[in-house]
Amino acid sequence: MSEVNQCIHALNTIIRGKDLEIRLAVCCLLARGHLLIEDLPGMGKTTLVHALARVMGLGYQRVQFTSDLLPADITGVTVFDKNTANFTFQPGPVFSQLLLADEINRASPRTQSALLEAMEERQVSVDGQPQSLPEPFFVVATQNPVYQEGTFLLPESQLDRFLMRLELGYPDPESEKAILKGEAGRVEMDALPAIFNADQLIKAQNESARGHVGEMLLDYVMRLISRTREVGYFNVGLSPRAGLALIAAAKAWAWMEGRDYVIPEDVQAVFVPVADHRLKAKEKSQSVRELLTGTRIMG
Amino acid sequence: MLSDAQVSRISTLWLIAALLSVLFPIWKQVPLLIILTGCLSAGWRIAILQGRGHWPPFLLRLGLILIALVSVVVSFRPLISLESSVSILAAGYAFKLLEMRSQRDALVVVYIGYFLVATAVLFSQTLLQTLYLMFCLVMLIAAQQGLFREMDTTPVVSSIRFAGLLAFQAAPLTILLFILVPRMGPLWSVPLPDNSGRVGLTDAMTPGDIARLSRSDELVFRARFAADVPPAQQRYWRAVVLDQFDGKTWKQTDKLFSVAAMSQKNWVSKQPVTEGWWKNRLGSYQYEVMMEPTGKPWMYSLGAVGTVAEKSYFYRTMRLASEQPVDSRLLYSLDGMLPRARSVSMPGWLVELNTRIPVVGNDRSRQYALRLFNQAGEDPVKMAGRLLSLFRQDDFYYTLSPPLYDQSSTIDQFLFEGRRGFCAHYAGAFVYLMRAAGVPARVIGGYQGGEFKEDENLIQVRQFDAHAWAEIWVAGQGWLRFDPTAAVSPQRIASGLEAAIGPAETFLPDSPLSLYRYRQSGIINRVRLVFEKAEYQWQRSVVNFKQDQQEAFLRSLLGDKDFYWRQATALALGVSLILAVLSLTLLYRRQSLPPLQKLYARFLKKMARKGFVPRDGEAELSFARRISKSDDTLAEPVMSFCEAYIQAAYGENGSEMHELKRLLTRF
Repeated sequence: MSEVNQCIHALNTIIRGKDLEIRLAVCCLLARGHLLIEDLPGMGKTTLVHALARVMGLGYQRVQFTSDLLPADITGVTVFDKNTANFTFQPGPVFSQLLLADEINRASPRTQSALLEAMEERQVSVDGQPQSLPEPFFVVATQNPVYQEGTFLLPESQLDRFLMRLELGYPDPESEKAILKGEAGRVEMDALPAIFNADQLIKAQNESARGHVGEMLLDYVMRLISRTREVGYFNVGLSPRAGLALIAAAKAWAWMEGRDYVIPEDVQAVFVPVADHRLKAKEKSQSVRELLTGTRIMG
Repeated sequence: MLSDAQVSRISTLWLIAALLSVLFPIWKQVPLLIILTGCLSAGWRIAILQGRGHWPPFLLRLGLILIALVSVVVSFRPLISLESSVSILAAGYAFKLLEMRSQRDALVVVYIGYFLVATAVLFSQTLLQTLYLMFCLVMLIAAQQGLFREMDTTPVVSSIRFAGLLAFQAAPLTILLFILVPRMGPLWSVPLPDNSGRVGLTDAMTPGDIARLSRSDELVFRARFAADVPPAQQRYWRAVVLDQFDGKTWKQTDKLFSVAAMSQKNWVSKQPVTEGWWKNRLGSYQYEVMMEPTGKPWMYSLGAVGTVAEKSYFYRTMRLASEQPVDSRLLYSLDGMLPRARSVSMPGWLVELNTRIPVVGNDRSRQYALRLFNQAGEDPVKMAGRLLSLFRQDDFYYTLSPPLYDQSSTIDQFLFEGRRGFCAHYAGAFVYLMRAAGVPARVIGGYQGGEFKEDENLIQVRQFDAHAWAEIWVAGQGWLRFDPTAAVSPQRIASGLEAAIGPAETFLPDSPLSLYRYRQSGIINRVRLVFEKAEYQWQRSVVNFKQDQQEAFLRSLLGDKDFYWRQATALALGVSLILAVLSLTLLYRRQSLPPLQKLYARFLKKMARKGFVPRDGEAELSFARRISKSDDTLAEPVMSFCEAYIQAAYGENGSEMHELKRLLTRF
């Protein structure tokens, strides 16, 4: 537990003033979920992911998505080895513990789906042979919301594969000053210690998944979910899969808070990043956050 | 909704259970054969349910019906009576259950069941029976409910609970209708239950009859006193006056008096006569008697009365009788008198009647009586005193099981050979001897004693309190009471039968389960007393709430003006009010919170008083943190309560409620 706080503390020295986002990213990792970061360039997306991989002691690969990227570029190819006169499999970047899929919306839908399938199944099929991906396997995709020309927007059904979507946003002035002074950001990366390793992370993931979800909390989650379907300002409400995701994330959050049971605050903390990208508001004015204030805690 | 669909297993089982429980309270009234065919039907039906039985063929069903009809025809004289109708209904229930296949049939069975429950009330209205019938009703409701259930797996307890809830919801309406709906006479009627089989006093006493009564602990009547209660030795409840002796049996003959030039009108009166050749002296006891039905006209009194109850007569033999045989529970009030009425002189024909004994038999007794009369100086009172001391000093025994005196001279046999007898033997012998000496004397039959209940000022008399005593007529003094039993066994008069019988005899030998037998055991006796009290109140206020009582009660409640209109309005208003309340509660039924959430609601209330109200969507921990931030004094107790609460509510680790309650009291 305290290791998690150490991680968060260490990450805070790199990304200033983004404590909540860092916590959510760690929470997403603990809940075995994939993360989508949507923000403008230069906001520290890549830095965050890089730092996360270091702190967690995970093997890290980065793929810059472009429109001419092919599925094989991600999953890997079988090549003929002249020396052994055999076909051997050359694993692609997807065979890493943490994969940063930069600007995922620039790739063609075909390539996108290849990655998204790998995310869901946690294995890839190459030449009909299933190849297991490493454990843990964590994808962080980034997306640029503004320059949409020549991009392929991820459809809602695909967005569902990401447990959370985060927006980093501009840093507060104090933090920005520190960054400008060179006291934070990528420059500090080399000094970052590896606090976790892959085995410890798997252990932490298992522990957090065992958190207790009580009857009253389930009722609360049910109310939240049915509210997304009833309020009428979303095209579609949350699916049962989204509900499962919400509970998994809330369990991880509760574990980070040092509890082995989930309380409504845990659900509220993760609700917006978990639900926001799965709900498409009919009008801009309605926000997902309002659902939280509009739902009773007790039946 | 109702279809030809098959009745589900569970409904069938409910109906079978209901059949057996409904048959139970009426088994005494219904011929045994019908009870047996009922049980057979139930068993057959269970066999069908288990897949081991066939549906009964037509001829068998016809045969069963014939058996039932024949047994009814054979058992009942006259044929058309309440019992025979109920028997046919019971048989119908059982046979319909046997051949029932569709839900429509099952509904018919349920309705017959309801009707049978209602008929059971005609035979008995005790509290215990009522409670049992309520249980039968709940069974029937559960059976009826089961017909409309899709699922076949509802557990027994929840079915019963549901049916009980339905019955409970109907209770206010039932009570209202019971109070307000006018009692109307029946449009047609069958003769009421026959009471000939009852145990009780008769107007013909053969020594031994009363000993038979003493084996029963059945309730006879209860008397509630307005103020003073007579002491145990004075509790002589008169019922019959036996003044005719044929050598074996004492009989009551005042119906024959009109022949003796004594008009009925003068002999029987609606108001006690206190003037003339017959004088009564007013006593001081005021009491109200609630008597169980006997099927006989006589009523119980402490002797002469100052007022005569409605629909009854007072005879100059100082007994009270009803116009009609008492077939249902009767409540009457009396302004009593002690039996110390005096007649100044007695007409000759009456003297003759009260000294008449058979001309033959009992020669030794006659001679003995004359000798005694002479020895007493021809003073009847002195002679009676000598007779009592004879009973006291010689080896006469008081016993519940006397030998049978069946020779032609029963009195001789008792006085000079057996010397073991019950009150009737002593009273009979005493009166015989007095009459043999020429002194007018008679046997009085009734009850003596009773159990006094101090908290209700009530005396409860049972069959084993049955008693016979004697009265002799002394010129100038009137009828004087002598109780020869008191000489033989003073305990019988002072403490009742149980104290009087010896250790060799068993009290209430025929009813080993009677609660009355276990009076010595503290808890059982307390239970018995509480139950009897409840039973008395039930009989007095509910069962006895008949037309007159209802009208009097409602008139006092609603006023006399336009009474019937008011009654109708009250009825309509009451029914609509109850229905409105019931439907509103159904509409706005508030879900009752689980205990934990109730506790949290209390916490919220306390916080609201201090000015903290949770924001929209603010959960427990955030709320507590906000409070602690703004109020340092509250911080510690609020946080410790909140942490314990969320642990209990969301951690569900079963933490102790009282610990939470304790934490809640800290602010």
